[in-house]
Amino acid sequence: MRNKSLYELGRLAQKGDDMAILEIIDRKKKMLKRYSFGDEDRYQFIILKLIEGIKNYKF
Amino acid sequence: MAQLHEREEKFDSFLNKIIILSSKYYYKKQMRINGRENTIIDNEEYSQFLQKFITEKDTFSSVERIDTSLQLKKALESLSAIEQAVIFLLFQKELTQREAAEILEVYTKTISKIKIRAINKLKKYLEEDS
Repeated sequence: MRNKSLYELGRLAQKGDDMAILEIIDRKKKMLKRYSFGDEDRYQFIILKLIEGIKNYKF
Repeated sequence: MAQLHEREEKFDSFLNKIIILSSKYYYKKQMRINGRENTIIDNEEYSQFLQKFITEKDTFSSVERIDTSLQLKKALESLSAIEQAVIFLLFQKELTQREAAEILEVYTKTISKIKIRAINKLKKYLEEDS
């Protein structure tokens, strides 16, 4: 997963690859933390929206 | 190759947008909920509203009336915060639905729906209790 591009990971995630979703979240961790402002609920909410977005993205 | 790079960038900015927008959305949502509670529930006049039924001397001329008022107080307490707020603004403060909607930052139609729901709940509660 490490050597795959974000786009490829997105395609895999849309097909139901959980590891790809985890890898995307891991790559976006810094930004997720920055925008959740230390609020765990907000962090979880953003992750849910992120997954929802990936699932609906037109590749 | 350039196309791949473009796709990659597009997807990356899409993910970034989701993070920023959902963070903003979450904040606004929380502010809306907290704002409602602060403006209505922490209002001193509002907290006196429920007490009114058992503190006003003149309104209780008989035991029967006290009973009714206590029943009504319990019924009001059974409503949700927003329903209590709507009842308070419309019937206690005698505001119009439009004014109540401005205070609670919702549509006038929503106020109307909440009012009907709250009245039905009160009716049901009082019928069951009596």
